[in-house]
Amino acid sequence: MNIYSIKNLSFSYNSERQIFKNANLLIEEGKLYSLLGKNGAGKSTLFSLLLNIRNDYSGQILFMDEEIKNISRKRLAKNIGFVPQIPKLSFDYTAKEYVAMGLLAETSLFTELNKRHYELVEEAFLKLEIEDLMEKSFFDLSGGEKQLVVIARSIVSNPRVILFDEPTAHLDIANQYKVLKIIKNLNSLGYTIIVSTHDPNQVTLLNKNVIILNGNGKIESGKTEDIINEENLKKIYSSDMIVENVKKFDRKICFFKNIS
Amino acid sequence: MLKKINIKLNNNLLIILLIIILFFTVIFSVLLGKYDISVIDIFLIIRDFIFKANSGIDEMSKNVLLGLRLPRVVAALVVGVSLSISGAAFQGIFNNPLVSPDFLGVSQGACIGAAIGIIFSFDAFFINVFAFLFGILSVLITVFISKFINFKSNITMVLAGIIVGTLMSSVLGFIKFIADPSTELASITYWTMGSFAYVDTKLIKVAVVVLLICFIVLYKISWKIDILATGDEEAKVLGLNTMLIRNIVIICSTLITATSICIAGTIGWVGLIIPHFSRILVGSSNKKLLPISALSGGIFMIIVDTLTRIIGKVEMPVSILTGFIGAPVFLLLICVKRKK
Amino acid sequence: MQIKQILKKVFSVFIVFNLFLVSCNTNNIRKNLSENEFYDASNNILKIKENADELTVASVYAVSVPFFYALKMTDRIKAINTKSKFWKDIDKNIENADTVGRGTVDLEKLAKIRPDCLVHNAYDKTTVEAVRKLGIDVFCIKAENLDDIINTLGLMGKYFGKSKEADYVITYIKNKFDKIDNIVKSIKEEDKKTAILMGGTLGRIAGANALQSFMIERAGGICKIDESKNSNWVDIGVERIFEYNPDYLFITSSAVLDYDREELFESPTWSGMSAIKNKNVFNMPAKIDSWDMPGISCVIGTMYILYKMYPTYFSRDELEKEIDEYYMMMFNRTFDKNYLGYTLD
Repeated sequence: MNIYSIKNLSFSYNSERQIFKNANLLIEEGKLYSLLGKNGAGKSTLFSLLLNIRNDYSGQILFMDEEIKNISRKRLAKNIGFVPQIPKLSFDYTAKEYVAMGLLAETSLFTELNKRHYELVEEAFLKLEIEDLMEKSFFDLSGGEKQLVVIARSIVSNPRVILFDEPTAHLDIANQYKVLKIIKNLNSLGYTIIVSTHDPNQVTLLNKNVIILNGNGKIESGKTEDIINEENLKKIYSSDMIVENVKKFDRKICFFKNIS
Repeated sequence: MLKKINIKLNNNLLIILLIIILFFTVIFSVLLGKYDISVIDIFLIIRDFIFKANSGIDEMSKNVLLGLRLPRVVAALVVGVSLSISGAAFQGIFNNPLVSPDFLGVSQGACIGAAIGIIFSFDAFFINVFAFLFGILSVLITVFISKFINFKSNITMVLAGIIVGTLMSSVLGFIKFIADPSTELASITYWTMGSFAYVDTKLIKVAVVVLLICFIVLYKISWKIDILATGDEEAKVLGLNTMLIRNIVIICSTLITATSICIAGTIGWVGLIIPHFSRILVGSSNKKLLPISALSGGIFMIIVDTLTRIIGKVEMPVSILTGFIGAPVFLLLICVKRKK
Repeated sequence: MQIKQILKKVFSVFIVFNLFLVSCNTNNIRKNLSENEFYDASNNILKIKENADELTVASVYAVSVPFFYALKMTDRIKAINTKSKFWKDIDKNIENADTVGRGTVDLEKLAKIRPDCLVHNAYDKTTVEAVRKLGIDVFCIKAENLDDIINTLGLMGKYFGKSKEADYVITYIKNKFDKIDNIVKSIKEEDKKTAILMGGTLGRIAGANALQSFMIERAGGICKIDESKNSNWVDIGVERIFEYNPDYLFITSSAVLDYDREELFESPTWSGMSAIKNKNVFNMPAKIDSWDMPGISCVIGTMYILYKMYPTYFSRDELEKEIDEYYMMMFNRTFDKNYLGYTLD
């Protein structure tokens, strides 16, 4: 089953910046996709469309075979988890309270969470092995810990798909690895995942599928091993990158030649 | 010591403690005043009132206790609670701890309504009705202006609030200008200035009902207000109908703030400091914040009003004391927060 | 477009509702009263009591103070508001009296002091209602024109058992104004001058209906002002005063001034005014007891204006005699010019 089915998508911010032009994309259930493109190519825009935050596009976006415009906000929230690049929080709450917010869609206007809901919250912490953070205040967490808590919030409602918006952008290398590992684990548990990044090496590290936005309005997707090559990277970044296959680790690495 | 407070006190215990403090505050407030009434007489008067008896207590004592003091204490309680929860809820939906209940212009609007009523020599009842209507109208204008600006940001409301507030102040200034300096102007100034001296008991009854309903509504959606702390976009993604929650809070807060202004004029600082103070006690979760703010606000307002009644040769306006107490307390709270 | 329609509906309902409220505002209808009852200045009915000559009184209304003196009832004052040292200096009763507020009434304090009656201004309905609810009578007075002043004296005399004193003062007032009228009659038309009395802020003058304008007219001056309001003062702006260009300018002593006479003489802007050129700008006496405040002092206030405008018809000696007579009537003594703070120069 296709989680997302995008047909003939066209979207532009104004007459000059056409982000998508008759683009197509299929997101299949259970798969892990990296979303690659340089800054401004449309990664965040695509996410806004997939989350139904924007609906001023033309074309068709289906979520689980239903036109996304017709799906209620609550139902979408139940089925889609979202990890923003920089989590916002104006007032201080505990990590537990923060993750509990992910279950909003389970309540109606005047009802609240019950005991069972809080058990789900605890499960989410356990799944990510961060139980020790539960009672800590969100403001007191380190960057890496915050990111993990946000991920916990995104999975607490047991969604069909999780979208990660450049989840490693503000993390150090150790935490970057940690997060990528968690993403892979979640995928192996059955979650469909889309991770946006502007680092092709993360794409090859995750190594499943990749979606490419090279700024010409089209969306290309396929297996990482097929899509990530020097030609495609040149289309995205307009500069020469070298893609080497490191046989020892069965992995591709991308890097720039020396600066001349 | 402050860190200990931050590890939230058992909430239920705190609520019980505050209720006890409130109870004693009310008792002391009723006992104190320039007119001497003995404790026994107070009991007798209250008993007479409830059981429609007559213990032969002096008329004046009865009038002072039942006509002046008790209504004042109730009014102070209602206003203190109203402004505090209104402030807390507003701070929640605007993600801004510097927001106060008159942020959308309800105070200025109500003052204009009252001023118009005074200029046309209306009865007290109609002056209050006008004040109430204009307070609400003011908020409606702010909301419509912010929709008109339509810039997708929380700052929109802030800007709209500033625009409307300034406009309203000018309108009020104009009305004051055309008012008769020796009669109407004094009345307008006195109406707008906060005071519990002339409390309309009918109005208090209405206010209590409005307050109860609005408090229950706000309490029921308190958790949804928390979610707005993640920002509009994230909240929407989590499934929150942000506009609905904002509108409910704006309606409830405006209603209770407008009735408070009709009872006692504009009183500053309460809606700003009490939620801050409560946040230090129990954290930001609105489910705890609203009740704690309500109780703390009620206690604070009663204490301040009692002080205005007993300090000095003659009574001073409430805003003076709330300012004198509020400003340094606010400074203290900010310093406490910065230390963390 | 739906929003616009909703807006229109809401707005029209709002307007209709407000019009309804305006029409609902009821006016008082006067009923027939018995002999012992009368209407006070706020149209409330007061009954004359058996113990009228023992009634104690409190007030926060500064205008009422001279009336208490005139009726020789300062010993009945339990609480009074007065910032002026003058009143305290001349009467121990006032010095020893308590206070229940300045302009607004501290209700509990009032209850504690428990006067028989609060004397108050006629416009402050809120206070009047609240004090009545407390069980204390309220007597509202007005003193903005001569009729009001005489009426107030008469009613206060009746209510407080001071009819003899009231009649005495009323006779004094009537006689003095008769005297003034006679003098004014003899002033030739071509000698008549124009005058305006200015208020505490530049640009503010006593309006056409104000007591001060009445004083000017009664003193033989011409006070042709178009602007008037319910109360004394109108803010017409300095330019309009220039347009009027009166022969005489009097500066009030009943309000705090944010300018002074010397400033006007030194100012190039004002130098074109006839009153300035001819040095016919005068401060109304007196610094600590204003002669142009609503009340009995308007008698000597008018005489002062008469003297200043028509010194050939009313001499300085005569004025000084009248001033002494006034203060004797009010306070049983005379005062030094320097003490009161005025000059006849």
